[in-house]
Amino acid sequence: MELRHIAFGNLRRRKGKAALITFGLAVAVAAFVLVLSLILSLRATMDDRLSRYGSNLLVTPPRTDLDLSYGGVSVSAAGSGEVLYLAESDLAAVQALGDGGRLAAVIPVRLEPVSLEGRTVLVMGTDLAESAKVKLWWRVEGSLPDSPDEVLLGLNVRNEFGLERGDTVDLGGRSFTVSGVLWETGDEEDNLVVVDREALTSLTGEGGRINLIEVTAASTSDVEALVADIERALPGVEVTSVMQSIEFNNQADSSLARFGLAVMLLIVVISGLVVTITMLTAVQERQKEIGIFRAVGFKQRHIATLIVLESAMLSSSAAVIGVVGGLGAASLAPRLVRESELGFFFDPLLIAAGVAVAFLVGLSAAVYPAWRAARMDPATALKYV
Amino acid sequence: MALIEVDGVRKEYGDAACRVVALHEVSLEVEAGEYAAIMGPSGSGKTTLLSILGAMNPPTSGSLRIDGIDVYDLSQERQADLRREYIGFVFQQLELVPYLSALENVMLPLAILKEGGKRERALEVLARVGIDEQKGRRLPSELSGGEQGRVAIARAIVNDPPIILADEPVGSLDTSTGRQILDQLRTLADGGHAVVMVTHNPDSTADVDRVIQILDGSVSCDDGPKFCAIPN
Repeated sequence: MELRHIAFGNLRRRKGKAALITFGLAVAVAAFVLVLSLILSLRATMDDRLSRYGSNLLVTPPRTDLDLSYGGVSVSAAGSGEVLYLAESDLAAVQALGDGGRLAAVIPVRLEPVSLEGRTVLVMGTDLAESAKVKLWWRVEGSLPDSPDEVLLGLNVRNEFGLERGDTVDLGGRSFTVSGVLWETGDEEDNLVVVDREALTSLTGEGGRINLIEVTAASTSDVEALVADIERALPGVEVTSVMQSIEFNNQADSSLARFGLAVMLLIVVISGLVVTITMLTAVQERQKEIGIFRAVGFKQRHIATLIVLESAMLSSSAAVIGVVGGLGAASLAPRLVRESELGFFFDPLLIAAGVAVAFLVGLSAAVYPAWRAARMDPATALKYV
Repeated sequence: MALIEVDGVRKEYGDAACRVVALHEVSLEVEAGEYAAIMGPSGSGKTTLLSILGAMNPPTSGSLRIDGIDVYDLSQERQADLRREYIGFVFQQLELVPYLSALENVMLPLAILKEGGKRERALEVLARVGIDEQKGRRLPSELSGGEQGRVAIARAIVNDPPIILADEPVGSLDTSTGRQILDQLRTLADGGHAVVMVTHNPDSTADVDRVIQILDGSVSCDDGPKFCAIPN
């Protein structure tokens, strides 16, 4: 027989107290796992949504002049007028960085002024399917162009020219059918005519010209590293990150983390107190028993070890119950929050974290009761004084 | 040199405002193989003396030497070692640990030792007091009073300590069970153990070699059982 047998025997006898301590610890572990899982799930969901919500990087040709615009008014015509382009090889270099799912989308954009019904409009040639995937604010009345002979009109263009879905328009001397109209975006897109990039190339007769590349990182946390990689791969190009979304994400992340940490800390402290108080009561009830142990030769450290062993055993049970309960609750949570993209987030680290919390709280809470038990005077414990 | 030497032990409780002297300059010696009973009325100091003999309650002044070792000069840790090596306790109401089997109760003093053969040793000691292995597996609550008493004695001697201290070992037992315990203690003394028993029951002293009578914290008589008057 060793100390662990005595510890186990005591727990078996004092089932009520053992159950109460296990329950207190299990609640802390379950809450910890649930909150952590929800935070990670929310974070992943937010990251995913921000990643999908438009590009977070713009790759543009190097500028030769300072920007000649102020307050939204551009006077760039006063400059050299030279327009620089990115090449197809630049596009390929950016796409090559996306191996391993690092990039959610790489969209080449070409902009050309083209004559529409005798007036000049700005035509954007792009990869329409890819654009629609990341520009979730696009609402199309009709459909996206699915052939080189179709165009998508911005709302202002539709209004200006009185065009409707299905109409045929003369664009740069070629006939196109209006496949759809973009609902108001409140942005520059309202003034655009959007066509497939190949269609724009055939219209202007000048291939291999890309004004900018819109890049969407799979994770916003990767944006800064991606900027550095693109600058390394394409020296001289301008790479601009859309910092607002990243900063918003970072702020949201840290707010979530702070909130989660506060909730977890509160639960852990309350649970630790419950365990400490319950164990102190148990130690007090076992005063005589501890006196007997001391009388037969147990040292202070043996008594402390007994209490800590008991706590470790209860922590093991609480870890199993708490992790299973926490993961179960986390898997049910998304069903309770309708209209939410929240999913069940599982990572083996959640189990490890749950087990660590069980032992951390259980053993920390046992320190003071173990110290009290160890310092118990055997003569007093046996009522000899 | 006597196995137990108590020299000028004084024990006070409380503070300067309310001081109670439990023992006044008590000196005595107990030899190996001697069976002594400490007797006295309630509050006379006999239990305090036993706890001092048990290396659990340091005296205010004076000393206790066991096998020549000044017990209260030792650290708490070494006192615990000394208790395990030198002293076996038989407690009032026996005080078996209720959630451990009879065999585990006997193994209790061995639980902190790293050596093997603990179970065999405990079974052998249980057999010596008349408890077989099957009964050894039972919880104390499943044993008769007499069997519980024998288990308590087995626990006290499993380390083969030279000293047995018994605190009112028959106080809460029926006559027959009490008799069995007293017989066991006599046997232990005959086997070379120094046995010191605290009792207030004159019937318990029939087989002892010596009665140490305590009155108001002082030894009032220290002689054979026939010579020390039994206090009422």
